[in-house]
Amino acid sequence: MGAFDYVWAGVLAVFQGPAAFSVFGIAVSITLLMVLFGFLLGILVGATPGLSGPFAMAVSLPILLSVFGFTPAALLPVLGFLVGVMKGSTVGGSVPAILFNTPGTPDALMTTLDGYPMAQKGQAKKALQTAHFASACGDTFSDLVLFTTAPFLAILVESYLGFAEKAALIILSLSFVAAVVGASPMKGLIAAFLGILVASVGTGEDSYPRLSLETEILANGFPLIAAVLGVLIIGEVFTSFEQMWREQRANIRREIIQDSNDKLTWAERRKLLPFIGVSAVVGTVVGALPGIGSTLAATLGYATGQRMHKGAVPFGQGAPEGVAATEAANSSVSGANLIPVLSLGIPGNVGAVFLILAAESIGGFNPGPSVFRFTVNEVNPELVIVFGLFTAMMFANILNWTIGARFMGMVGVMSRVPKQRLMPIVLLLTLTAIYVQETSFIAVYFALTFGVLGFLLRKLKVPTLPFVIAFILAGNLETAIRQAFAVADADVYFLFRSPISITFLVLSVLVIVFFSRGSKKA
Amino acid sequence: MLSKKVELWFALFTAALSCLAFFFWIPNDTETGLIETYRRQTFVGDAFIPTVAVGSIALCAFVQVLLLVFNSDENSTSAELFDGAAVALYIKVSLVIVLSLVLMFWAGPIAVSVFGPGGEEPLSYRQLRATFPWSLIGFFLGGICLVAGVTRLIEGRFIAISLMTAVAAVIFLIIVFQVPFDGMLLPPNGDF
Repeated sequence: MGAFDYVWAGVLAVFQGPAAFSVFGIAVSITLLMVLFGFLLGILVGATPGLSGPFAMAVSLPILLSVFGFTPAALLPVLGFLVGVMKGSTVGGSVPAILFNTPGTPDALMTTLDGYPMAQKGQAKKALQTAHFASACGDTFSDLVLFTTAPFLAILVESYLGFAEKAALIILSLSFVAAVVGASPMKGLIAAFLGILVASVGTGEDSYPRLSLETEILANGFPLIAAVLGVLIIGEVFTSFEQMWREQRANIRREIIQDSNDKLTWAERRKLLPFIGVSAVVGTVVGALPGIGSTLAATLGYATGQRMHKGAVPFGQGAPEGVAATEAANSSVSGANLIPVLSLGIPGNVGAVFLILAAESIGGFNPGPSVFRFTVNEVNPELVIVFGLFTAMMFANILNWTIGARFMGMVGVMSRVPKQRLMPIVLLLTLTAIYVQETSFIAVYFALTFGVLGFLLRKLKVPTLPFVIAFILAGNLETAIRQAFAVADADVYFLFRSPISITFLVLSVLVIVFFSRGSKKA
Repeated sequence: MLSKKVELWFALFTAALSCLAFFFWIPNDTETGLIETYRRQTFVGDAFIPTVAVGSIALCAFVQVLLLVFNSDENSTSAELFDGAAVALYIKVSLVIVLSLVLMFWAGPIAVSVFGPGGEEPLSYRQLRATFPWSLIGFFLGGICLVAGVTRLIEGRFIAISLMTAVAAVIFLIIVFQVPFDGMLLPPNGDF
């Protein structure tokens, strides 16, 4: 099969895959339907303060696995749904930010700076349309960069990197994530190494499950879903309990602003394009680097837009350019952050973590450089899945362009859902989702324990993302180290035998030193 | 940033724990060491990765201590980790969670033993775990206790709408997880 045949096979896998139902004799693909459901759910969740795209991805996963099973045919519908959620939530996050000055997702924080003042001036509709237009532009741009970059990067990695280099690359990625997430690189590193330590429990190659304290309960290690959901979701829920409790005591209330019928014209859209273009590039570059989330992209996009802006309304006082710069930047992260996932097998953010979790749970698709093997004599099914995923992403973009704005206008009511009643439901929902996948109360206990760990890490201002990414990558890292050691004939300097490996390790140290200096100054 | 005192204690505590793991836990709880040689083959042992991990944690904690000692504390705040009221809140939340899980686990089996179908050989909960209403009693009661209990603690008062929200949420979850999927087991049915 040639490269074009693989692309076409991916497109067909989406459009001619298993059908959900038929309309006038035309089969409607289940993958397309799942992308649509995911996209709408994403907007709904994004528009609800306290909920987020990763949360929806986390609790949907067990249900999706129950519906579609653990066969390769499940991959595209499940991944398509998750991608839909990821894209929808980014767009939806701007709704409460504009209407109620409450960011639905953290990356929509900067949207409040100009979106809310616009709504106060009676331009809520225009602000929502601006956010949607910028978001759809940024997202589409970022996806196109992903489609063209990831295969080449993966082929480069597969051609030039051996076991030692791959181990060094994982170390570099972890160092980078640890350095850039949170205020202190040292704390980020502690979280990452803790993730590796926890992932070591009950695993290994010996007959005795290491670090299991000779107990049955630890002999099989920690369930991946309990650890990831515990730290990321339950930890966040526990943290929010105290915040909400304090807000209740302080009797903090949100203002509600009236709507208007002011529309965004095509001439105004044209004027926004330079801001959107620059922010899309900023967001894509930031998104391609592991660990730097959409919040930083939004901040950089906003700051860049502010420097470019020469209009009558200054940034921060209801400038549509401010909304556009922010939304284009944070939306262009979602496609670009799949570049390290697909080309290196390294999840760069929480959303990508759940895509990897889905792929690992279902099996038959291991994101990483080996996916992009353009085999000629036999079909590489993983490559067909990748191009199917790209097709699903483009379909989600089409949905965003066509129905996204209309649906955004309808979900404003979600911002009024009281968070103090929502978060206990989120806790129960998360525990239930974990239980139905693991069917054991032990998984619930593990999840709560990891929830407490996530809560304590947040209290101590230790970033949780390095922990989770290290927990997921620990197995790959250990395998690469074992193989590199064996290939190097048991040379203890096995990681320092090639210039590429040495470069990666030196960069790891430099990244930590550089960001430590930055945090000192801050 | 937290207060300098809290940061310092965190770093010291982390360093101490990782040293304990480095010297006692990992050597005594792994079968092979860092590097092993068996039948003239040298390979990486099971202790290698965890040892590197805790060693690195200790090193990072030590560096963090040095950074804290030698840097000015211009970024530190006076904010404490917890105050008494927050601790009390979390103790109550913990109790509600424990109570809810106990209720979730045992309500079904107790209901079966008290009200279950009798006869010469009474049926066990395991035999009825897929039968309505027995299969849902634990999840229904435990779920309501969890949602309504935590909501009450956060709001500081009990209002009927919180209870109604909890009931609606649990019914919604049952509909989502149980009704469309016969094979899906809600808590605690997989444990019986």
